Amino acid sequence: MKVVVVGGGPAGMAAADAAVAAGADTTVVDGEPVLGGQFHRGDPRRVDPRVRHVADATVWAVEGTRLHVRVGPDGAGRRGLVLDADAVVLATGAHDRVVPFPGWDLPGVYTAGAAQALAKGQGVAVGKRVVVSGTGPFLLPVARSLIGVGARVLAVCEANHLTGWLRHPVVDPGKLAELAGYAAVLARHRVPWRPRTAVVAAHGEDRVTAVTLARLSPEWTVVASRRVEVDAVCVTHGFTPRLELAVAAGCALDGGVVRVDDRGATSVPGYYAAGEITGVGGARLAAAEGALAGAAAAGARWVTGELKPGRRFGAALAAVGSSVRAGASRASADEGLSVGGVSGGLGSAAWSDGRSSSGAATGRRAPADGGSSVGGVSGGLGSAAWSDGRSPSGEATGEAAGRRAVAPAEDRLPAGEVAAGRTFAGAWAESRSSARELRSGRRFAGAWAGLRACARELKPGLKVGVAWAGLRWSVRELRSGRKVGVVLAAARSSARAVPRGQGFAGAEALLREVRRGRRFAAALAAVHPVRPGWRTWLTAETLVCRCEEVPRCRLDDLGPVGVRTLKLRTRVGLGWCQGRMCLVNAVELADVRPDEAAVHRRPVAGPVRLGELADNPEENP
Amino acid sequence: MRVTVDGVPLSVRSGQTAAAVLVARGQVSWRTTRHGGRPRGVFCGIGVCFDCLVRVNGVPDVRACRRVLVDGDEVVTS
Repeated sequence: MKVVVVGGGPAGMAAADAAVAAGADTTVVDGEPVLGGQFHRGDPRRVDPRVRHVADATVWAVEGTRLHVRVGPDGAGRRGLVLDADAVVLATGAHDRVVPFPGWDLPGVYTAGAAQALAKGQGVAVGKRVVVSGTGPFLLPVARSLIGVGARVLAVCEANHLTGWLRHPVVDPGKLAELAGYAAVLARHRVPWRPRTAVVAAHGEDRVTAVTLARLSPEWTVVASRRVEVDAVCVTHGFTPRLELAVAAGCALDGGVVRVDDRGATSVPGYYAAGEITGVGGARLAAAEGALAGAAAAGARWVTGELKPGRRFGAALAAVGSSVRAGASRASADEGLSVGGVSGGLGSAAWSDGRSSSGAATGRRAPADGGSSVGGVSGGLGSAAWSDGRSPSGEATGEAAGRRAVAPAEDRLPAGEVAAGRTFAGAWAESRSSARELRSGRRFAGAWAGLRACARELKPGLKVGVAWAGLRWSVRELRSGRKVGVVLAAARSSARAVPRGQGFAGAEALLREVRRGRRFAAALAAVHPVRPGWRTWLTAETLVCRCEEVPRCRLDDLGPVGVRTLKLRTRVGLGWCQGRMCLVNAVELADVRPDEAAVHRRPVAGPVRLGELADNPEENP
Repeated sequence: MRVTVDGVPLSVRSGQTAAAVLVARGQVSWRTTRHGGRPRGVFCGIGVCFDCLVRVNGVPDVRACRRVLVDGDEVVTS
């Protein structure tokens, strides 16, 4: 099973981790030199080392599930690459939407994303006296980043009114804490935050020197205004999802985003989508969606199947126990592999509890289907493969070990129905005995991982006791010289294995996270929309299309047109950016027949030089 | 790392983009538009808008915001 993930942000990374954990041959193709996406810019992230990472890459065309890629920094000799996938996960993210206003094309006017990228990624402030304006929560981290690199933020202007949130109360402690953090930074630096206010014009000859700050009506028409001297202004009016690949693949859209089911499947078989292209809701939602989509793309049954929450603990333990047995019983026949199986099984339960638990459940339903139904069990092999990467049994592949583990999982599952306390005792006994079968270097890691899984599943009161007992026991098992090293290795690798924020959540936990995130995304869209009054900010000469320098007046009196006619008659969206910046605005200014896909239809989905088309690309290396 | 920007030798940190180097030097624009001759610099900052184009080592129309400089790069604005 070959899975290609397009995009290396929170959604793409989670998708790649989940797909590789489910046993798929996984590649993540990303446009940046390092993983993390815009969200983690300046703070690079890593994925499971079994994932092949193609950096600095542009997917410029898709034919079915065949992707055409250019790899390397632009202007330094890119090479061609063609990747054939069994399933593709699109996690292409979004960029700032900026509505035009007089002077928005002056140097010194930046998207908020540009200010953020320069501050977070490069440590550079876009100006000394800066106004941040637009709508949505993104204004706040941008203001904080600017303050962080020494800019003086004169005001943060939110065009909408936050009373809208009263109708959509957020009960998410994480989000509220984040908000409080931003509020504290703004307060400490005496940065005024102004609702129903916006930059509606930028002034200057060859660069911005001042802006008009306007008090807005609820529909965003100007009520009153004043001039403020600045040397930079950062604007964002929400996000435009990057949909060209989804549209090129034929994925149906709905409400300006890709239509997906709970597990990220699009309308096109073999195509999955996650993150901002399925609805703008932030990094945590994106990661949860990515994990589900990646696993679904890889055919992991823990996400495609059903698992009742009440069974999780038992199933997790059953997976531990049975995989341990599966490995141990084969110890004499093939030590290398079975050791992999043992620690793999342990790890799987521990590291990705949902995956392993559902893996076990899946084992019961479809024990014969080794390759994909082991998704869960091999899902945890991360632990074995990663901590064992350099060991003689390193060739114990996830799938092989997973297969060994799954068959007995079927028999063991009834343990899941036993009262939790007893089940735990049983699993405990098993993990002890299994640990004896292992070479000592592995013991601790496996035991530790198992313990963590168990502890997670237990009620808080029990955790400390269990963990303590586990530590004492596992430390006893090791030869003293190795203890510290192994402990550190286990801790390090387990920290790497699970994307932050995703924790040990299982499929249901991820689905809960997605549902919660989508409620937040819907509230965000309802409270922070672009309201129609922005169209009154423009003069006849205000550029709508920056590339082709098309003023608003050229869009007047077109009559009802389609997107294609709009482009051909006005040249809007025909320049360098291919309408990525202007087209969503232009269709609101002109009388354009609604056609969601047409706004994002770019058969050449990324810039390619003519000479590059003459290259022979490397195919599926 | 040593690079040149319009012939001026500069020392830059590894990982810096051409756009970051230009903005950090206080430059806000470095090309003009085809029709109106208007100045342009960074706008979107993440490779989408193509406002920030420069020439790198003789290759025209390279997005400065995306181009991480390497030792010896010659950046020419227009």
